[in-house]
Amino acid sequence: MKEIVLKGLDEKIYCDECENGLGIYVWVNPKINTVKGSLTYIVGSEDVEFKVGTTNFTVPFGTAHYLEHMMCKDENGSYMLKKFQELGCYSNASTYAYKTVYEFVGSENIKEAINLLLDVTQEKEFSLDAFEKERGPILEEARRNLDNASRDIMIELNKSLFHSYPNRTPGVGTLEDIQNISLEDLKLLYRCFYHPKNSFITVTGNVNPREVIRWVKDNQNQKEFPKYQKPVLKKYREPKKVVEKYKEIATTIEVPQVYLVIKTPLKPLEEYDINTILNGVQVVLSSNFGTTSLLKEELTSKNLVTTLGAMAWFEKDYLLLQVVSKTKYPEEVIPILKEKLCHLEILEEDIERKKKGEIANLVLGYEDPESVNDFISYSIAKFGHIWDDEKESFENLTIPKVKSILGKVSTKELTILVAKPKTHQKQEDTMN
Amino acid sequence: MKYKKYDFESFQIFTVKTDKFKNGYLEINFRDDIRNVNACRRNFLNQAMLYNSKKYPTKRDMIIASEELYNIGFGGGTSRYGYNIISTFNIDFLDPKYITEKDYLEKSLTFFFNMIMHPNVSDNIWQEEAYEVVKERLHIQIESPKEKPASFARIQILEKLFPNSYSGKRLVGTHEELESITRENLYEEYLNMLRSSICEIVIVGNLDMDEVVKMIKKIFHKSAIVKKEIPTTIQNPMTSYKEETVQKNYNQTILNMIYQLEELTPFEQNFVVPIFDRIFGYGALSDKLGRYLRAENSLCYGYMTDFVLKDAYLAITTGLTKENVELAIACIKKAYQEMRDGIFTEEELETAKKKHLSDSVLQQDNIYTIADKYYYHEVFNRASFDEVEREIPKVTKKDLCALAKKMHLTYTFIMEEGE
Repeated sequence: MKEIVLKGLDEKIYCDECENGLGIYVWVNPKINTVKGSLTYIVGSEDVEFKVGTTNFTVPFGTAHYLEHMMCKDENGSYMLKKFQELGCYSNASTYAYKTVYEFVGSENIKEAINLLLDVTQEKEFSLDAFEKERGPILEEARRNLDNASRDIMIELNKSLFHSYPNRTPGVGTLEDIQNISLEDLKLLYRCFYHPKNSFITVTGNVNPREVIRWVKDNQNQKEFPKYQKPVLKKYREPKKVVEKYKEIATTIEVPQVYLVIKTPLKPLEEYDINTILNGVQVVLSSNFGTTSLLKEELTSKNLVTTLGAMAWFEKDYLLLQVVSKTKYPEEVIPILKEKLCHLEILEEDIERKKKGEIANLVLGYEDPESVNDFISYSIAKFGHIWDDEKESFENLTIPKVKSILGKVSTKELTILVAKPKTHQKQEDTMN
Repeated sequence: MKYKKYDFESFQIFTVKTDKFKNGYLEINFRDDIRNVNACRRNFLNQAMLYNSKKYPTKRDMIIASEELYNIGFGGGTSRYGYNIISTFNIDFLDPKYITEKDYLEKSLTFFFNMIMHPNVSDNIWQEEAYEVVKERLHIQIESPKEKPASFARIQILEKLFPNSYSGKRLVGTHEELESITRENLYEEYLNMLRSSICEIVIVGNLDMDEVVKMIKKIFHKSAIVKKEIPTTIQNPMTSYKEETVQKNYNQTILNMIYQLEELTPFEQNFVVPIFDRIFGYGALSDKLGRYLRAENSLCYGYMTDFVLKDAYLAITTGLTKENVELAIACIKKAYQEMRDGIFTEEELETAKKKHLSDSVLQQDNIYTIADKYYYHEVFNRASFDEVEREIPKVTKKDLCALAKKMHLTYTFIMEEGE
């Protein structure tokens, strides 16, 4: 068992690995009752094209999500939730772009819950009847998402930003994709990716780490797995240019929303780790567009915007700087936001204050087993490691470093998306 | 966890000392009888008070001050519990032991109570910017449920089912009501709130509570002594059954069924309802609705039951295609009938109790739930964690059947998808 000491936070994460390759991560909080266990497979909704040996495979969008649904049903079609409930635990599963996570939360029968979590996903029997019966609920989930404006906007934004990335399609797939998914597609994805070598278990909360690691190893030692096929995911070549500079869409909203996003390559920033880049850009964006920015104060006091915020994120080889606002006056507001986004100010006093706040958030973050579990799962699945110097990273975020990062951000490629309310609402809908 | 209650003439303080958290939480509630209050104005007031204050005259000033206190979080809202309208203000702050500044806690409390005691008012008129910005936001809030079909459907149902009751009225009010609020009468509402509301404070954290209470006494002054009993349930008259279909241009049909509840005993409200819900349709897939709507008939992805005890009804909601509505209604009716007839096993009952008790243990790891639970226990006689542990095992099959018999289907509302 190894320990990852989180510098300056007085916290540590215990880790180990089973002989079959399954990773184990444990974080302890003895003051609470809650325990969360999660099993993460590093395969997600965007992993639709891959190669095993010399053979290329393609599955429809939505296959990873459909598989996640099926993993939660037993061969008779009963939902596994019931078995966790019998242990006094709550359970759930989620498919992300890059991972699929199965989890439980409880305070008792933790050993049994860990065994169940491992067994449910590692010893799967598929039934065609249960598979077909699940298609209806998945179609309804997708149709529900069609009425969800934020999902709609995100997909449209990705279509404006990226030529080739698979995030241009919803994670659950389109209605047509879902209709086309076969049981064979699910079995293929399961066979290739659901292997201990491509997964890890994370247990957080009031547990004894040595005990947890022993339980997991005992469980794994009783099982045999075929050789891992090491599937290789498709690499996407994404042009630097955005697809569209300006787009308008109509969706289920009542007040227009404007999105301005800069797409800039990460390559020139490679001397910094992604955490430092995101932290550096985020504090500057908060200072320019956040609740304490003069711009927000001005636009809000004139009632030009209802909300204004900004965030930095990354997508494969690109860093994205995004400003979003709810405004009834898009034409008036867009030029102001664009000007600011392309000429970000670095205000030392602001940045020092933001850093203080971020450090406080970091300290508070290591309290809740659910969020620590999510953080570990995210770090390992996305980056393959846990940052042990997050606090230091904030503390060492100097003005010259922030300037250097921003100096390498190109503002040339920018997309603007304006989401407007659908005009379908009838007069009598006015909520008086 | 150590619970302690402090009774002062004009307000009460409920404290929970625990070392589980790295933060502390404090909320102040101003509680009044909605029948004597302009709810829309009271809600407006809450938002205006959170926008800025005399000391921090802009929103930006407020946020900068909060960030300097290590990102102290502050917020609030207006809610209703039966005939009680509750205006809440709250803060989250770091456990002072993590901060080297000696007077961090006092500074945090001063920041918070300053907002309560000194709103941005001059010559009895509320500051224009706060007034205008909040008004605009509330106008938008009135329309915003249309962005979520299920919320939109629920609002329409309540307006139609309880047209003359507070149960059918939103606290945010209407556009006309909002427009009738002036900068002058907003300040009058503020004075009215201090004068006529019952005031209760809740604090949770690893703090010397006697010391915290002393600090609060020093910086928070409320002179009006208010004592009144306000009912916690609006027992609307039972209506005759109605079914209605409206068409909207959403992608999915929303089906809502409302069962009104006869008057329930405290035991039923606190202990029988949650167990009934877990077997009937809590949303955990293994319950009756999950079995009939999703597993056996593949009709929907999600479904939800919502026992609204303050207004004595149960709402059942699901999203599906319009062709499946009739079958879904039949499934829901079947599930209800089985609850009424006691068609569920002892094993199901025991699993539901076990899961409820387990959730109650988990809730004790959440600072906000602890605050909420203690407040609702002390003020509205809702079950404490200890009572849940003691009473849940006593719930029987007979209790659940008896509860079902007090439920009456009065409304089916279908918000049909567009062509």
